[in-house]
Amino acid sequence: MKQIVALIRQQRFNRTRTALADAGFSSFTARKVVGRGQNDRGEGSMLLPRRMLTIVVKDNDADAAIRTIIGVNKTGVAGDGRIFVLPVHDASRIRTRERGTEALTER
Amino acid sequence: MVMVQAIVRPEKVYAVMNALLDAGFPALTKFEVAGRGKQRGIRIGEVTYDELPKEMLMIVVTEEEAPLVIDTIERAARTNVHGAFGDGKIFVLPVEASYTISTGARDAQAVGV
Repeated sequence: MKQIVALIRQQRFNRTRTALADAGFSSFTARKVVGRGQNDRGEGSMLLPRRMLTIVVKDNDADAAIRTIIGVNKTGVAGDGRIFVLPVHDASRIRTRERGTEALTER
Repeated sequence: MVMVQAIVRPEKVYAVMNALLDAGFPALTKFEVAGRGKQRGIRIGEVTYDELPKEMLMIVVTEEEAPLVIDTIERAARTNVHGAFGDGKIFVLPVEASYTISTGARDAQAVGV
């Protein structure tokens, strides 16, 4: 399993959510964050608002999810955001106590 | 690549961010969290606070840069020279891949490329 952490522009959030759902990734966690990027150097660099999406997927679904997010969010301008892929050791669906990939929503 | 997750005091977060900027690490993500540590919250008189507000910083760097980032955060986030309970914690997580959305490209420095 992989945890995909995507930092995207706030105004692209709804489109990203729809695109992910269409691609079969209906489950994710979203939260509002602020941050700055590689280019935001110098004193008093502004912190820009972004949406952070966290999606846990099976290993072989990761690429499709990443491509979907890039497809919606790429404008070609610095500030589009970043995606990180982290390994996930285990998962549990608390309701049924299913473990591992069984705990993930079927794509 | 590794993701450094630092949970620090809200009053220290801008000192930490400026220290990171000076050390050459401008890129980070910040959000508010609440939690407790091994002190099990804090008790002030009759009132017990089960969870305390903190700020979480996420910084993704190469494995070689991680010790400097961690050292920079520790120095800036500590209360006076000795440190105090509630100063926070730092976690380091593996990052298998990283993508820059504006180019759509996978970043070359990630592990396993």
